[in-house]
Amino acid sequence: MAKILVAEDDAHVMRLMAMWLKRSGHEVVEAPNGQDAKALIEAGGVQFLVTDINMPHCDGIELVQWLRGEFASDIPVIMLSARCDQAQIGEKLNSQRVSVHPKPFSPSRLSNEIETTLAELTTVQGISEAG
Amino acid sequence: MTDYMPVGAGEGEYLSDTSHNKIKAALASLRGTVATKQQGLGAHVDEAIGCVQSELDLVLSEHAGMADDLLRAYEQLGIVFEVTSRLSSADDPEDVVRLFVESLSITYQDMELFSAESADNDALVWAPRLPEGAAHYAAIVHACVESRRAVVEKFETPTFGIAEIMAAPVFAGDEFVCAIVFANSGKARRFDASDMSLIDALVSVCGDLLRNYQLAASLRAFSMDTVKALVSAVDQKDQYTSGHSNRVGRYAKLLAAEIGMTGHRLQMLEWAALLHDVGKIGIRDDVLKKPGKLTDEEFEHIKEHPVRSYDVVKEIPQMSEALGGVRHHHEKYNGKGYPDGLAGEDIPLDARIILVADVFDALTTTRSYRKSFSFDKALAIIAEEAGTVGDPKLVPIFERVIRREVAARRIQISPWTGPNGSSPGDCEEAGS
Repeated sequence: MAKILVAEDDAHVMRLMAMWLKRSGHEVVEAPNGQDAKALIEAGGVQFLVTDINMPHCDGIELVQWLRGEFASDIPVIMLSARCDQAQIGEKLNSQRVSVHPKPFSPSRLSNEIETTLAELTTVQGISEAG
Repeated sequence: MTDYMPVGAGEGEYLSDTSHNKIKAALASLRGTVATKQQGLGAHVDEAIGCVQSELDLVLSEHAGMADDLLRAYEQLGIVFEVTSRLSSADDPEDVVRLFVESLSITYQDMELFSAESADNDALVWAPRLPEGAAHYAAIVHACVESRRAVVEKFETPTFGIAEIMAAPVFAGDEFVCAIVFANSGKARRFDASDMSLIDALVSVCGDLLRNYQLAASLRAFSMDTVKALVSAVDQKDQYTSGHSNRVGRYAKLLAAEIGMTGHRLQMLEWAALLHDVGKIGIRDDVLKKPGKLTDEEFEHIKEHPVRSYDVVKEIPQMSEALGGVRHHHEKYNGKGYPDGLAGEDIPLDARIILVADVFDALTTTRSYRKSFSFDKALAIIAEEAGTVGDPKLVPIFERVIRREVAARRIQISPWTGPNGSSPGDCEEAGS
């Protein structure tokens, strides 16, 4: 259970994604573009970002670069894209710990990855706190 | 964890919370305004709003239903992509089935999923994640094998928490390989026709891939048999060396496997060991079969055979990695061998392995110029010559593995005494 920000400009994909993630027990905040997503992240509390790449006013790549760079946050990011150059995108964001998935997204694989990442994160935090 | 809910279960869940609340609020405020301004219209307004409300609910539930269908379609598309791309990276048939079951388990994570194998379609051996009591459901596996497609059986009263079972058969050509079995608790959702068509399509991809592996394996076996037939024809040029190449192939493979060679690498070593003497086809019979000592000229002629073997094998592009072993199998560790006088680690590993195996077989069989040595004597000679002829690191390993195999009766060393009880000669050229 986490607060997940979904940045997606296509309304119906956004609704589907939000519906699916809520069913999986997460809290979902929605941003129709990268600019709004930044504002929501700055407002605080976002634990996970699921973002599209092609969006108006600041695309997914810029958003992630801002998130990792200027905002210096290491929350997990899953990027979904219908673009053909996914390998290059993956390479470009290689050092940014972003996993890139093709669209249409496979719901169970998406939630599976979110759960796994969150579980790993909890373990790591547990270890570093214990140490 | 992430179960599908029945269609339309979450009230207005397709709509975002904000939009849903806005509509509710608008309707409420409309009712308030109208009711205050127009006394007596309250009942009509209530009725109208009721109509709008139920119409809205209907639309929302239709949307949620469509959203569910879309999610299912996305999911199924996702698994088709994943299965096809993951399966192509499989190394062997077991890997194919394992990866297949793994990929399916993500989509069907709320179910028990396992593969059931059968040697003869009769006795089913149930594989790893066997839900308790699943043996009762063997019938459905037989049913899917019979019909050659996915079959679903629903149980009126769930047993061991299983409400229904889907089984789909994987066939490689006409051969039944295993059934993929899904045991569904029914808590999240029930199987439908789309699950069956999806699984049918996927098991057929899996089966085709397994069939390809079988074909490749049978081609490999065919090539191996052809090569064995060819080398035994060469060995038969000289009655004393009958079966020599096959035995060297076996000994070399044992030694190579012992030092950790596997897969393709081991396969290439075996090819090289089998073919090391194929060039003897070009050596004159009178020299090859000559009893007693060879003249210098004759010996030079015999020494051509590794290069002749090399020339034969280099015509086969798939065997390029076997060339080193073939060409250099007479190079001695001290550098005094032939054809290139390589020494120590400069001699390809495959050639050093073949040399030990070759010398061992030569010593334990009778040749035209001498009788065979006993098993222990042969090993003693090889040990004595370690560092001069054989690789000193390989020799002790060879001794260990060959003693173990003989003790376990997996191989038999039965010295053959030759046709006319030929007289013992020197063993200087053992291994030619």
